[in-house]
Order: sequence, then C-alpha cells, then structure tokens
Amino acid sequence: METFEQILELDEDSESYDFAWEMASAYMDQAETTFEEMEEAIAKGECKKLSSLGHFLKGSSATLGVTKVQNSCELIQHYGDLRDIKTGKILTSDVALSKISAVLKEAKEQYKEAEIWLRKWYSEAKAQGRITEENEDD
Amino acid sequence: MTVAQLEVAGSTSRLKVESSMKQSERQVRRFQTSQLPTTSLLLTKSLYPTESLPIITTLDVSSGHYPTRSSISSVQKSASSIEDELHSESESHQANAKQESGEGGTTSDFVKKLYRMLEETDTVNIVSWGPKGDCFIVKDMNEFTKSVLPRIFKHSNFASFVRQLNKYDFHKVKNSDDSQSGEQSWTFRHPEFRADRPHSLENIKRKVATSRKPPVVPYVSPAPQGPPVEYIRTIESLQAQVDHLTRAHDDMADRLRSMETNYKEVLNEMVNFQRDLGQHDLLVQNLIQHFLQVDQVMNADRMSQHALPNQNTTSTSPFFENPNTTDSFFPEQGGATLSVDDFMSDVSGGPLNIDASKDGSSFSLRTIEPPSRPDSVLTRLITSGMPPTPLAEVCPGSAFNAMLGGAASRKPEPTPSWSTTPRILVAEDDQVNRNLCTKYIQDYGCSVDLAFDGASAVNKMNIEKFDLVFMDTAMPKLEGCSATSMIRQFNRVTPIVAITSNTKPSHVMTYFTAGMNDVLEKPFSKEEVLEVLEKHLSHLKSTSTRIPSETNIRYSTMDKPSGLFPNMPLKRPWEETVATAGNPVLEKRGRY
Repeated sequence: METFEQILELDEDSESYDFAWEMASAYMDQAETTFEEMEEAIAKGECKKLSSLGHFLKGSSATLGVTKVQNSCELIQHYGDLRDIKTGKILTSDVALSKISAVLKEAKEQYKEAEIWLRKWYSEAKAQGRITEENEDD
Repeated sequence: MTVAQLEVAGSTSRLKVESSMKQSERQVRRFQTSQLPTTSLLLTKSLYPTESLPIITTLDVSSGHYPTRSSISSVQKSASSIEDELHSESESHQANAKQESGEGGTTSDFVKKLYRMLEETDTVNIVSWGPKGDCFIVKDMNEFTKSVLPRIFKHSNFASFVRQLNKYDFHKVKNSDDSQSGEQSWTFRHPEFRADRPHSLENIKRKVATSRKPPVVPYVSPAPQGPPVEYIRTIESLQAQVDHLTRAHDDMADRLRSMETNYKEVLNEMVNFQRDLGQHDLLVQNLIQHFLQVDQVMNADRMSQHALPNQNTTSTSPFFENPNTTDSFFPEQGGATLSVDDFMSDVSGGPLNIDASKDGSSFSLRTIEPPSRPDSVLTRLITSGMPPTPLAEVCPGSAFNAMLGGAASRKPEPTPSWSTTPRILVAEDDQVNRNLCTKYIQDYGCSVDLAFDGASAVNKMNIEKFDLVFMDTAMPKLEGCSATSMIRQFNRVTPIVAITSNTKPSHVMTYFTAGMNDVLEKPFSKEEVLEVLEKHLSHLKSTSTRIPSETNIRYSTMDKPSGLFPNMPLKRPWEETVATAGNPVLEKRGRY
C-alpha cells in the first residue's frame, strides 16, 4: 500500500485523514459496484464491457496502490479483449469468459484483503481522532 | 433545238419528240420504269450528270411510242441506289449547267416533274390537282409512295418527297372539308404552282441552299465557284472552330482536374504541417523547460558556492538601499525569516549557516542574479505600488515552500507560484483518480473544474476557458482522444494532458495525433502532476517562481521538517480558494 501512504501524506497538514478516507471509501464503493457489473457482464457474455470495467478498476486500484487487484483487473481487461497476454494468443469469447470468472474470483479476494486493511486503518485513524468527517461506514 | 427549249416545249405542248440517241435511251428507261415498276430505277453514276430527266417524262407524257425492249439492256448498266441528296445534287447541277449555257427556262426539274405528274390522268386517284388547281393532293400516300414516286422521282421515300417539296417552298395545307380521303390525304400548295399557269413554274425556286456536306464537292466541281463552296468553307471554318473549342474545353477540364488534385494535396500538406508544428511547439516547449531547469541548477550551484562571501559584499543590492522596500519587506518577513533560521539551524546546525539564512529575505534575490530579474522585482515593488502582499508571497513564501520540498502539502500555499490562478479542467470518470488528481492540482494552487465524461468535457471547454486540461483516455460517452479531437476543432491552444495507464509509444502517438500535448501516466504521483503543471503553465508563473523549482531540486531530498509551524491554522487546502490558502506568511501578516 505504498501509494496509499502517499495519499496519507496529503492529509498530514491537517492532521486528519479525511481526504485519504474519502479516497478509500470512494475506491471501495467503486470496487464493489464494478465487481457487480462484472458479474452481470459475465452472465451476459459481454467481453468488451468486461474489458473496460477491468480497465476502470485497474486505474483506481493503481491510484490507491492496491496492486494485486490492479493486476487482476489488467488481466480481466485483456481477457475481455480476447487476448491472453501470457501466451499472446487470441481467445474465443467462451474461453475468455471462463478465464475472467476465475480472475474475478481472485480479484474479489484480493480486494477483500485490501478492504480489511483500509478499514483497519480507518478505525485506527478514527481512534486517533484523525477522521473528522462523518463518513458512512458500511 | 436546245435542251432547255425542248424542255419548255415538252412541258407545254407535250407533243415534241426528240430523236436523239440519248432520248431514245431514256425512253427505254422510261419504258422500263413503267413496265417494271417493281424494279427500282437504277442509274449509273456516269450517266447521271448528263441525264435530263424532264425529257424522259416529256416522252412519257407523249406516250404511245415505246422503243423496243432490246434497247433496255443497253441502258441498264452499273447501278447504285439514288438518294434524296443525289436528287437535289443533280438538279442543282443541272440548274448550274443551264445558267452557264446562258439559256433561259430555269424551271426546276423537280417542279416540272411535279407538274407533269399532275398532268397524268392514270394516277388521278392517287395524286391530283386540288379542285381549284391552286394546290395538289396526294390522296393515297401509300399508293403514291409505291408507284408514283419511283416512277417520277426515282425513289420510294415519301418523307424525302415532302422534304423536297419543302425545299421548294411548298407548304402542306391542312385538310380541307372537301378532302375526299380524309386523314390519308396530303395537300401541298405553292402560290406559283397552279394547274392553269405552267409558265409561273419558273418562279418556283429552291429555297436558299442549306449547308451541304463536303462529299458533295465532286458533283459541283464542274461549276464555277458558287455558293456551295463558300458554304463549305464556312462549314469548315466553323468545324475548325468547334474543334478548337472542344480542344480548349478539354484542356480546361484537364486543368481543373489537376488543380483539384493540387488543392487536395495542399490541404493534406497543411494538415500535416499543422500537426508537425504542434509537435514542434511541444518540443520547443520541452527544450525551454529543460534549459530553464539546467539554468536554475547552475544558478543554484553558483549560489551555493559563492553566495556566502557575496552576501555580505552585496549590501549594495538595491533592496537594502531602498528603505521603502526593506520597510515593507522585513516586518512581514519576520516570522518567516525566523522560521527559516530555525529550520536551517536544525538542518545544518552551524552558526555560519544561520547567518547565511538570516538573509532569508534576500535569499531568493541572490539566486536571481541576472540583472533583469532583481530589476523587475524591484520595479514592481517600487513603481507599481503593488501591495506588499504579493512580494511577501513571492519571495519568502516560495522559498519556504521550495525548501520544505516534499512537505509542500503542509503549506498549501500555491499563491507564489502563479501570477493568476490557473484554471484546470479534470475530465475523469474514475472517482478515485479524479479526487486524487483534483487534490494534487488544488494543492498546487490551481482551481479545478470537473467533467465526468468526454462529452461534458467538450461542453465545458466550449463554454468556459481553462488553462490546462487533464483528460482521461478511457471514459464513457466519449473517450479522451475523440473528446480531444472535438475540442481541437474550436480550441487549438489549451494544453490537454492525457491521463492514461497505457503509455506504449503507439498509443502515445494516437494521443498526440488526437491533439493532446502531454501524457501523465497512471498511477501518478504528486510530483508528476507538478511537473505537468509547471511545464504547461509556465506562462502563468509569477517572476520568482524559478526559485522554488530550483530550490526544490536542491532541497527536495531533505527531511521533511515537521512541526515547523505549530500554530499554522489547520485548514483543508482544497476547500480554500487560492488567495486565502493557508500561506503561513499571509496568515501571519493578516494578523498585523
């Protein structure tokens, strides 16, 4: 979570981690929504949409430094484009969808780890009184 | 007896019979025609010019004596079909010949034939004079075409006959009520063509000759240069003109085509040129940026080597000679200077250094030794009557900021960096990235407007003015490149920076081709954002902004001094406007 440390620095001036928490919670919302959308897209067999969803969550994961999720999302992005970047082969959409399902499962676990980390950090910060905003804690 | 007289005589009395061989031959032919009407009349071309058709008919009229059949074969020679044209040719030729021989009786053969035809009694139910004798009626057109035309006019083309009539100024008369055979009948009239006035036939002339075709020439050649030759010449010259015009027209069309091609090429060239120019500009911008940085580093080095000894001797610096400036300068400076002192002593722990930094106020001035800069700062100070605020911001503020380096976020004092607040548009659909980017940019003292997709980015660009655009490449509605292309159609100036995780050269090329000016790779750090801002907003920097970047380079690796400003108000900078962003110096002065 190196990058997240960097974000935390942004808040140092105010001794509150409001901004960092804002970012984190935005990310968590986004990740959960995106995972849902990915499931839907898999059900509908929409590879192209999966690719763009992968790209989307890849970006925000990278921003927060959630590297594992970022990598999984990149895989989803490429599979969605029917490409296997490991072998350089072109995939059929069925193969791609099954690969995406597998990666998505991993990504969700990876995200869960990150979420736990973030929430732990949040509760610590709150304990220190460094969260001043009333954030929705779901 | 001349032929002409004979003709006249023949047409009037119809009693005279020529006994010449020629005549008998024609008689034979006449015989043949009447006896063998199914055989189309054949004439040899060699005979044609000398033939005197009217006489034949004369003989015919004075019928009764047909020569023996034996002579038929002698008449029949090589043959060719006779066309309408040839008829008129022969007639005009004959007319010419007669005129040449100076004899009277210029009645046209055609008219004579016509007259004689009407005098015949056996064809009266096919063609006859009108009731008053002032016109003639073709009662049965089919029969007329079949039997009368070949016999008298040696062809079987009614239309041609009508044309011939028209040439002699005969006019078709509308069927009168007394017309016996209704639709089938054709009535023709000529004022001079009357049954009771054969003499007036002479007055029936061919209308002014219409243009003849060049092949006619051989038939006319025996005659002196008559009108036909002139016509031919006219035609030839007209033809030449037409040819010339056609050629000219073709040339013009070619010209036009080649010019169109050229135009397209020029357009392409212009587009390419524009693109190249854009890239060139970018390159120059980068170079300038680079040189400035190099320059600053050099200045900084020079300063670090010579600053201390110079410092004391440069008391001639205009700043210190001008009480006004120093007055306005130092009091406000106080707090900040002290802080610097503290800071520096913390860092280096030596009194000498403290001395050096005690001149915190002039610190920044020294770095800008090139004559122009102190002057401009001074001039601004003294003459423009600017409130002390900007200067206070400008010098110590920025110096601090720079020295604090990575801790710049501590002091969200963007004010010193910009002469006016840069307005930045961030087009990004990803909330996380958007928030972060926004925060960074605001921390650097710029105001931010947001667009959540490409289409609204285009709209905002259309409505408002921005100094810089951060554009995500993958967005809903309209992705970044397309949005940029659209923006570039009405705004070629505002720098657009792609935010992308895809920085393969091929992709970067598409960004630039779309009209973007720079690329910020995701995930980006705060420093990278600053780099972009400084690069593209250098024109908005205030004059002393070089110093922070210079000192930034030198001090950025320093430990972040924490707790330097314990009394600093705790404010969230991104909620502040630029002018009041928590610059400690400003805050302090505000309390004076």
